[in-house]
Formats: sequence, structure tokens, C-alpha cells
Amino acid sequence: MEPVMAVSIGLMYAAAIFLMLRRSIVKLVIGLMLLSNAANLLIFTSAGMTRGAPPLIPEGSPPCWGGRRPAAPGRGADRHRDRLRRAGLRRGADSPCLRDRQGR
Amino acid sequence: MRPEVALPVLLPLLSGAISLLFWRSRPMQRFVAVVGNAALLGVALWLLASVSQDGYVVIQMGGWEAPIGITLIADTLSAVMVVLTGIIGLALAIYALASTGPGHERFGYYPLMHLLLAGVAGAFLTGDIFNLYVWFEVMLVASFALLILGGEKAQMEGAIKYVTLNLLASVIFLTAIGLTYGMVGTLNMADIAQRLAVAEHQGMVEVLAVMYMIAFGIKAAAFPLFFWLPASYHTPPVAVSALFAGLLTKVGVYALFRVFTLMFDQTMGYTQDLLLWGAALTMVTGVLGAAAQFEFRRILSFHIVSQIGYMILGLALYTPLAIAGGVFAVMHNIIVKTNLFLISGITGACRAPTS
Repeated sequence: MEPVMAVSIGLMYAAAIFLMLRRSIVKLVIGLMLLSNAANLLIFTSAGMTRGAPPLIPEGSPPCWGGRRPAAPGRGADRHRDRLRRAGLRRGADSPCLRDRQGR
Repeated sequence: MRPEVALPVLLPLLSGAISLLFWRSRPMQRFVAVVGNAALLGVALWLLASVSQDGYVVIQMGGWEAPIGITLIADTLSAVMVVLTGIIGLALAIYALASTGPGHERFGYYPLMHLLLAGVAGAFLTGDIFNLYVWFEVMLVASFALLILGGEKAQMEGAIKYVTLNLLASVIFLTAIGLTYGMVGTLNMADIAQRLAVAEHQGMVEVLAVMYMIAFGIKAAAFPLFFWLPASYHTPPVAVSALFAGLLTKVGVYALFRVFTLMFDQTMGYTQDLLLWGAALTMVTGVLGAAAQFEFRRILSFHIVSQIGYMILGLALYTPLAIAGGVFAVMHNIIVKTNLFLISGITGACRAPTS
């Protein structure tokens, strides 16, 4: 899903800058709106895309910040982590809380 | 519990809120402006005294612990900047008593000025990079409103250029923050610094460094990206011009100093060349632009650009003495630039006493 999001966010940035360079103030404003939406989508995507993981951790587990976690253990989690590692966005996959909870 | 770190942000917010309460009574707004900014200066001096005693002062907002919660930290650089904000605020509150027309005062000049000062103080004191973005936005929205207060045609034209380029800079900053979060998983500046040093994709770290440089370069009016400044700074009333000239670009320069000395220490080999060339070209194009103008505030606007070049050059040379020189240039320039804009206002008032 991340490649799709990355490509579409890139297209949104391109469209936004294209619109900002038009000769009409209305198109400038629409371009600015697209630009800020693309930036928001980028933030959501860079924090990891999961399916329905609740923002709750069990009481007493070590504090983990910014951890990405696969949706369920063993569901392509390793392939997911390899893809993250290749994209250079790997830092969450090795956070200590993940290791503790998934046992890897 | 060190209240002096949070007070420079809370006091202007409180003054702004009280000014809004007195929306109909302009004398009360003026009173709150002067008293509030004097209190801001007092709190800033208290903060500077604490910092010179303890080295740096830290508090966690809301009691949340460090990498998750937002940190407010004052070291000597931040404390000095906040003191200068207080001085400028007080001076401009006193100047605005005499110079702001009733139209401007009626539409909320004083609350906007307080909110701008709150944003500036917050940007100087925060230790979390997303919080820095938030304070930049507070500062920018207040400055947009101050810029168009009065509604003359020149102000609107200047404001469109100012708004567009600063929003673009904010979005680039936000993109860089999003990518940083994706790489290191944290938003606390000190934590980012530690994790970026050991990040495995150093090429990506250099991309982030350049993105931050572009974002803060637009805000600080550095070389190819400064054209919003001469287009917009000469249009609003003098007190507003002076406030912008003294503070807004210097917050961008402060952010450059903070990000490049704290977080991107190891990539300075590559980004240092960009900063050096950018600073030199900023200096040259700024003064060439100033030499081509014939109106007081336009000359001063281009002059701001060239002085920004000096400050960034101090950062780009990247030795302790150079950085100290750059910081001294920032401190000096805040006071002198505001003063020059106020002098331009008094000159205008002397030549045309009815306006």
C-alpha cells in the first residue's frame, strides 16, 4: 500500500505546484489546499499504515514511540519489514516494544 | 517546576485574550498592551537570570515524559532571544500608542500583536520540532492578519505574495517533519539528533537537511527565496513593519541555527557549501536590490535581506567563533532593524504631520 500512497502523494504535490504557478489567484488557492492535503497524507503515511490497530498498549509495557507494528503476527510481517528496510523507513520495526510483544 | 520557561508564551496569550475582552474600549487595549509587554520583558529577564545561573532550564508540558511529551527548553540562546522579543514588544507597544490609526485599532491590532509575540516566544522556547511548526503557524497567521489590516491595495498585493511563499515554506517544513518522523520515530529535537546520527540511510538525512534549509531559508529570506520580503514589508503601517522586520525573519534564522547545530551535525560537509553560497549570494543581492530603491522602507527591506546573509554566513562557516558571531549579528540586528523602521515612521510623520 505504501508505494501506491507514495506515488499518489507525489502526484498531489506535483498537481499542487502546477496549480500554484498558474496565472489565476483562485487556482493558486486551490493549489495551496492540495499542497497542504498532500503534506498531511505524507505525515499519515510515514507514521505507518496498519489495519485497525487501536492506539492502546497493555498496561506496564515499555514505552515505545513511533513504533510500526504489523496487523497480526505472522501475516506477512517479515516481508513487510523487508520492504520497510529497503525503503529506508525501518526504524519502527526494531523498536523494543515490538520485540517484546511479538516475541521476535 | 520552572514557570519562567512557560510564562513568556503564556503572558502574551493572556494579554491577547484580555485585549479581546476589551474589544470596544481602545484605551483599555492600549493599557493592556503596554502592561502586558512590560510584564513579558520582566519575565524574559527572569528567564535569562535563571538560565545564566543553571545553564539551561527545562519543563515538560502536561507532565508527559520526554520523547513523547513536548519539551520547553531555554538555553542561553533562547533566553536572549526571548529577552529581545520582550524589548521589541514593549518598544512597539509604546510606539503604536501614538501611531496606530483608529481604523486599525478597531479591528484588533493589539490582540494580533500579542498573539504574534506569543508565537515568536514559543518558537524560541520549544524543544519539539512539530511544536516549532505550530508556533511558526501561530506567528504567520497573526502576521497575515496584521499585514492586511487597513485594506489598502498595496497591502493586499504584498500580502498575497507573503502568504503564498510563507505557506509554501510551512508545507515544505511539514513535509520534512513527516519524513523525519518516518525515519526516526520521534519528534523531540534532542532525540532526533541522537537517532539521526546513527540512522542507516545517510543520503535520506541529507535530503532532510536540505528540505529544512529550504523551508527556513524561505522564512528567513535567504537567497533565491527572499522576494516576498521587499514585496510586502513596506506596505503595512510602520509599527507592524517594524515588528515584522525585527522578529519574523530572525525566527527563521534562529530555527536554521537550532536545526543545523543540533540535528544535522554530521552532514555539514555537504550542506555547508549550500549554506555558504546561499549566504554570500544573499548578502550581494540584498545590497544590490537596496541600492536600486528610492523609498525609505523599501531600502530597509532589501537591507534586511543582506543582513540575513551575514547571519547565515556565521552559521555556514561552522566554527564556534563564527556561530557566536552569527548569533551576535542576530541579536544586534533585531534591535537595530526595528529601530530603523521606527525611524522611518517618525521621518514620515515629520514630513507629513497630518497623515
